[in-house]
Amino acid sequence: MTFAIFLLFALMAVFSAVMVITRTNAMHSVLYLAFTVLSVAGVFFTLQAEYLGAVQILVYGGGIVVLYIFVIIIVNLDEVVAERRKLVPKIFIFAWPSLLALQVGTVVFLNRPAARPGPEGGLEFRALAEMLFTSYALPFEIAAVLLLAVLIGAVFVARRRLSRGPD
Amino acid sequence: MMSPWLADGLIPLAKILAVILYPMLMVIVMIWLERRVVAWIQGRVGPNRVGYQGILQPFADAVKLFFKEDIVQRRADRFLFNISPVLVMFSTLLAFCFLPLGESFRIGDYTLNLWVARSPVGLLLVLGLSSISVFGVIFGGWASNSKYPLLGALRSVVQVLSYEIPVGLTVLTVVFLARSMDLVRIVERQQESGVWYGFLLPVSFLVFWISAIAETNRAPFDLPEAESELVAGYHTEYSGMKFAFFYMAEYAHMVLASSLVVILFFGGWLPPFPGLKAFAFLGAIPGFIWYLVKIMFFLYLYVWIRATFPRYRFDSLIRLVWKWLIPLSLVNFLVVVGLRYLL
Repeated sequence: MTFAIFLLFALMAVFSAVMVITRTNAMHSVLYLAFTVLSVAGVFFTLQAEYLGAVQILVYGGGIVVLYIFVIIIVNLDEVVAERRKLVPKIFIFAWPSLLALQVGTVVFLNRPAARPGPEGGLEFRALAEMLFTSYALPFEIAAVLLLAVLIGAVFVARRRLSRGPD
Repeated sequence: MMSPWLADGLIPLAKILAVILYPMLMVIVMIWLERRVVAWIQGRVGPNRVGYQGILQPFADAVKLFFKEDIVQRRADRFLFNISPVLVMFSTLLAFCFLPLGESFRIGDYTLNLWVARSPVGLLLVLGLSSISVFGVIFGGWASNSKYPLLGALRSVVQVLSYEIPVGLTVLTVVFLARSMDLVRIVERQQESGVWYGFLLPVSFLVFWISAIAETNRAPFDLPEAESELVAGYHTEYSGMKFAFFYMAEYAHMVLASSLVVILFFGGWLPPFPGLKAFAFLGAIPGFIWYLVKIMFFLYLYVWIRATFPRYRFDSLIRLVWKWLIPLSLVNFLVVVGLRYLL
């Protein structure tokens, strides 16, 4: 039963992820992105990682995707869509996601993660925090530094280029 | 001995039905209450013709909306336009699954839980699901392809995103004291400690309540649908049942916010005066009655506030959250954590 629900969410996630990159309307893409995020949260739930699922909904669903929508409305992507170049063969658009879907399928069918019970009925915060700050402390910090680098990079790219004074 | 057919089939089915009907019922009561109370406060009569004291007025409105023409303008984005009301409604109703309505009680050897789903991260889930309803608002506003809905949607996003920060920070203090994000557990902890968190953490409660009003787009923070500036904001172009969905979802969201306040800060289904022996007889009244009474109080407060305060200007709305509520809730969190370790 859990496996069936897991499969449902996984297929929904893959389907909406494909829809994200095949829509020409940016707004529709974002809607499917939201569906992807929610489906992945569903996958987390069936894997008994409830905390991750809830954080996925709260942070990605409620925060980041909404910011995407905001940016799309503000920059008004209509012109960008109109002059979209058709250099990328259509086959790539479908080939990569279907390969990925295949991979998800094989991983699911060979390992059956949903059938395996989580540690003591799901990760508690304490266990999660201990894992993050002891055995995974270095990757965690590296991810934080990476985010900082991205932030600084974004500020650098988006900065207003002032003229170097009168000359 | 209860047959497994009843325990595993019929009762879950009844719960699924209840989790849809209960918010709808509250919405109907709330619509009537709001129109009547605002009318009284403003020295008018309000709806009093349909049924006793006009209590059937919301049903009459619903029937009217059913038979209205369903308009989609030609330049609208049909797909997003049609899916937005569903998104708003679905996310709000889904959040109700995680709200406990009362303590579980036993019938024979069967334990009936007054919640649909209990999760160790129930609080996060309710907050996350209720923040997803902003999708419907912004997609609806954008897909209408019209100026006023778009402006309303933009205002709504800025407002909801900003006010989610103080909500998160104040909820954190409750989680810190209860040492759990399980909504049932949070209420049980308030029973164990003998004091409701609303009295222990008055700052948290006030910040949470103000932010909850802003997140539900209610007066005095109802800028996304300010009728004097934006006609009706993001749902200007909607008619018929789609409009009804937006309308009902807003009220359901208010019920959700009130329920959260009651569970987090006012002891959920616990009877008042938990520590005093003299008031122990109040425990004879079933928990969900207390719960409903408390929710109704906060719903009434919504209406009262709406009729009392004038609408904020947009810049002062944003200043309020970024310059006052967020620093206040940060300091509040540090103080609570500090006191917990010092005392």
